[in-house]
Amino acid sequence: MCSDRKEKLTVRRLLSNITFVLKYAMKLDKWLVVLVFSAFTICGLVYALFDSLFLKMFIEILSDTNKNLRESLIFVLIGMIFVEIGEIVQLLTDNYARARFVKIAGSIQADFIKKAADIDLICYDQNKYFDDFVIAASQAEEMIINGVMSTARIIGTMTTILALGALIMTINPLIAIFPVAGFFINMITRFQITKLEYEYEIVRKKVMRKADYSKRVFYQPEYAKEIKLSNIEIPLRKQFEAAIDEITDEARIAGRKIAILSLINWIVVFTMFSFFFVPMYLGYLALVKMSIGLSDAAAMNNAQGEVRNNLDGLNYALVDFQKVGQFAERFRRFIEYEIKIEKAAGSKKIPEEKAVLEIKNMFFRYDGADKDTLRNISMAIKPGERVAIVGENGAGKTTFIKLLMRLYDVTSGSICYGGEDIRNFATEEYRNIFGTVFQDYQLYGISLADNVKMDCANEQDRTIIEKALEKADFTEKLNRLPKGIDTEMTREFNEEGTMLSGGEAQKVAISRMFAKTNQMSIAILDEPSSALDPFAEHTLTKNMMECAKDAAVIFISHRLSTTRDADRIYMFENGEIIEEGTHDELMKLDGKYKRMFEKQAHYYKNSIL
Amino acid sequence: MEKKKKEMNMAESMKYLLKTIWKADKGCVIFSFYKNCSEEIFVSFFFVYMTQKIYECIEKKSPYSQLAKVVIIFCLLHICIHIGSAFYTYNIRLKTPIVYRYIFDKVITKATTIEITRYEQPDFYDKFSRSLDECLNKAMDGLSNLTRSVGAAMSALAALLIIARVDPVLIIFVFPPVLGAFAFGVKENQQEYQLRKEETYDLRVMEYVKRVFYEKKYAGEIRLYKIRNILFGKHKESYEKRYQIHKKYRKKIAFYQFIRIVFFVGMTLFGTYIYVTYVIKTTGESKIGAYVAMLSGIGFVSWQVKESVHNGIEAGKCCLFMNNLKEFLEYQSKSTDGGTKKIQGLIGDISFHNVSFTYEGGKSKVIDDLTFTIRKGEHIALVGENGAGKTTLVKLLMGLYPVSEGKIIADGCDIREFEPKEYHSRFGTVFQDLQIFALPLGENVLMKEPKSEAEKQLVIDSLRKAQFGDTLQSLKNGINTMITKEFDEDGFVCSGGQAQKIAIARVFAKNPDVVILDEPSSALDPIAEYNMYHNMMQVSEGKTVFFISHRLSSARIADKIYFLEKGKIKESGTHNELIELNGSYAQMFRLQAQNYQESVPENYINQSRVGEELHV
Repeated sequence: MCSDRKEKLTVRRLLSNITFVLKYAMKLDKWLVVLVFSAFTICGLVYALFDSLFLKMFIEILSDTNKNLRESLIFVLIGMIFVEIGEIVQLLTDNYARARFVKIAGSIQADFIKKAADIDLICYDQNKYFDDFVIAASQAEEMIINGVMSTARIIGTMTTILALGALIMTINPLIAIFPVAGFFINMITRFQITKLEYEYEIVRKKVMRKADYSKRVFYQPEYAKEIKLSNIEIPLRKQFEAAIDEITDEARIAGRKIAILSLINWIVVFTMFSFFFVPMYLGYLALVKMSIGLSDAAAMNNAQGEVRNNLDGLNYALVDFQKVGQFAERFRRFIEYEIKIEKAAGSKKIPEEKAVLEIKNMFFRYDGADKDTLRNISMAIKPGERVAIVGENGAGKTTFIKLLMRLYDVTSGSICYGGEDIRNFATEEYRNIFGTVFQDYQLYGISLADNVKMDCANEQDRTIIEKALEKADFTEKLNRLPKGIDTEMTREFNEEGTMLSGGEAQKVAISRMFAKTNQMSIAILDEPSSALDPFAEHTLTKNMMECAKDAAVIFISHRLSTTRDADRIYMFENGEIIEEGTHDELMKLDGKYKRMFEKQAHYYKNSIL
Repeated sequence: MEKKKKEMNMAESMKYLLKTIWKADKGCVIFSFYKNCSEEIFVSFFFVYMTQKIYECIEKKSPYSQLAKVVIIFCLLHICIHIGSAFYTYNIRLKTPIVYRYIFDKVITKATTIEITRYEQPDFYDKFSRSLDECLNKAMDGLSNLTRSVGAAMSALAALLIIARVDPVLIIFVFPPVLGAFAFGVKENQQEYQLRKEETYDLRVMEYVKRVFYEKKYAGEIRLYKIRNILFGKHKESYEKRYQIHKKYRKKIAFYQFIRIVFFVGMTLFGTYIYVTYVIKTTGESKIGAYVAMLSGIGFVSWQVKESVHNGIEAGKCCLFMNNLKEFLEYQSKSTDGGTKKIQGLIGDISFHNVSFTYEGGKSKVIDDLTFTIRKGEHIALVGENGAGKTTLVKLLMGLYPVSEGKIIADGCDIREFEPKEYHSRFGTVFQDLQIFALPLGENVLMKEPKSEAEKQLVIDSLRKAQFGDTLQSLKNGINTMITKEFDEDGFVCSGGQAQKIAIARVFAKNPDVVILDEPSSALDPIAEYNMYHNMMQVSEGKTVFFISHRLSSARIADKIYFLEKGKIKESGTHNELIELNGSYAQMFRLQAQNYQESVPENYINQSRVGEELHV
């Protein structure tokens, strides 16, 4: 979708990008690059000269009655040995390079993910950056391999063309006209064809996405129930059929043009310039003008063919070159992105003791948005306090806690911890004071222990982890796991991995906080119990509060019963705090909070009539 | 032995591939064979025979007109072949969608008859979902590779004939490369295959780690915890391991290539040049042109043989994908022998008789010997802990799962006797894991295209009742708004709560006999939740309603509550009865209710509850 976006690069920028890629490759494996470049040059030369110069000399020796069998055979043997050496160089380099490229691709990917882990979170919310990430991620390996290979190919073909050019010049310079003219005509028609194919491909991709989507729904497990119970099959099939009809029409129009252009290209470039003009001209020289013999004719024929092939190769290599330049553009933009929040070193030390978190007149607006997501928020949270954030869907609650953890930076106003602006702390150290359970928690394809610790769990951690899981009411499930806390989670890449249900996964996410109890001075709980049954919810809420007893607790919940005991409740609406106070105060205030609470409490009351 | 078996499979799947495409479109198969064979065979005449003729003309100093005649005839033929190829280029573009339609029409038709339990088995995704996605590309690639392989083989044969005409002895020199291609080319391919297989795991790990770092949903946790250390480690370990694997196999492959190219192909190279030198030098020089042309002829044959073997193997690889398609299409579903009975009027009473259910391969019963009856029009709440079997119970009821033991009777008739489609249509359901489709909003609600004004109005009313009215008003295209950005840049992306509301609107629009709501309000804020329940109860007057919810406030408005534990009904009755019983339900309710009631200590509630309820 966005990758279709054409990006125009200046030639200078393109070259600078290629240089960047080559430098990168040299840094990772200097010898490989040198080896590939030399191998391409050597092999290109050997094969080209074998087909032309060697052939010419071979025919001359055969026709020369002065040369006896022994001398002739020695000549043949020497030629053969050269070819064999070329073959050996080629196959060894090829296999060696393929293996090394795996390593290089791995290193560049590692550089990529390390950078990705430090890119400011805000970039993920901006489509422009995000597209660059994804594209850079998917193309990094291809970029570096193609960068080295296409450069090698260009060097190789250039050398070959020069050598063959010199040979042709010594016999008959006119011959060179045919491959060169053919090359230009090919380039022009090919360009048209490629353009048509590219345009068709874009249309095809767009249309087929619909067809693909419609049919895929039918065999994806998550949709199976709806398909069975409803008639959604009918509109989906219609969408499928419509897409097929549309693409058939498109194919008819584009196909006709492409076929005609291809036909012209084949006839002119291949039939006329390669197989008609050249033999006719060489025949004319040999039979009418009598200026060359069979050896020259054969050598010329092959040499011009080789030149044509090499020019074609050069053409493709240049296309690749351009692609590499474009990949590199995104990759560079990504790798050169200046990180603002993450990795900030900070000038101040985090207070040793738990301290007050104070938010002063904070505003926040996403880049490019036309209104503030949060407006004029002020509050102070002391250690040991319980603060609840409530409000309707979309009121800005989750954005608020992200700001507290400095996943985003405030647009104006400030957040201070222990009286110091949090921007003055080292980000990593600052975040360490939080224990967080996210609404959209994730499980990772690593062991359960690591999933709880969220770092490499060592031997001492095992008891902490087991205790944390116990507090999260996970023990029963833990006992049924094949390898206990070493069981691998998710089936991302291990068929034997364990899949957890929504409730179980939530318990694991909560246990992360329990495992962090000692270091934590602020706990943040964003809808931590949405998937739990009432018993589990009760137990876990109790445990969470106990575990965070000295720490400040900030929690978001739609279940107002859980927020009731908070020291303070903040009601958010459209990015602003509209009500604040204890439960009793807010009930007395008779505002939005009261309305919300009463709606929910309605059916819990003793009589509902 | 095992190798033989695999080849059998390949041959079979090739046959299956040809048969499938043939049935979809005969022209597609014919054109592919025609194009590749005609082109390839002509190429051998063109390169080998024409070169020979030209060299001969020059060598023998024949008149220029003779050479011109040869060149002109061949070039005219060449143009004819081009016309055929252009025709193919045009046609194959037209045929591909036809084949696609044919294959996936079958897949879709089949998919709707496969039982849900099969879908939910863990291997289903790996086996079908992933491979079916690639199936068409693989089918067309397979056909193209197969025809190219046949074409190259025929071309090699044609070239051999031309060579034999010049000197039959030269034929001998064709054998080493052919032998090499079959013996060692196949070995190379096996090694490549092994290599791919061995690195799959590590490749998946690398892809996974990469994805974790660029997908938005992981971004927050990555920054707050130190989990990156583990993932970096895993990534490094994987690519180091892949490098070791590649090194190991590349060594072997290089060895086989060495033998094949340097030894077998080299033998021919040496052999032919030495033979030609010998013949010319010992017998005179009359046929230099022809022999020299044949030198490249032999090179051409060994190249074509290699291509043929290579394409054949590639075709085989593609064809193996067809096994998954075949298996999918020929999958025998167990419960397809659904009944044929029509339902008269609304579904009435529903009763479970000793119903048990165990997942295939599962050890314990998820539903264990349940017996109960639900009267028409009753509102039933199913409550219990996570994993008690609530969702499974409603799936059994809807006939999505087959009962393992016992039977479910609706209207005095075993539900297996009803026509499945008809029976399913009687239910309106909001699932916990509801799905939104990349279709216009109207179709997402009505589950078909709203055509008449009445239908459009129904969609709008349903959305309003589902508390989606405000959002609907903000949508420029109203119910024609495309949902998701899948196909439309301006498509509407729903939040969790909005998706839930759309799913609820489906039930309002369908007006079914039985309504099933499985955690329908988990993502809704309290006010939206309250209104949704209120509306739902209004429209379901006289309908049977099941709801599953962890928020017990909704259970309270039910006519009857079933408390499930480990697949059994532990308690049942009205809210008041269950509170009086003072069992698990009462305990659960009190846990949740305590904070909504006046601030009284928990133990006080426990003591006073029973007494209070008596007053009501």
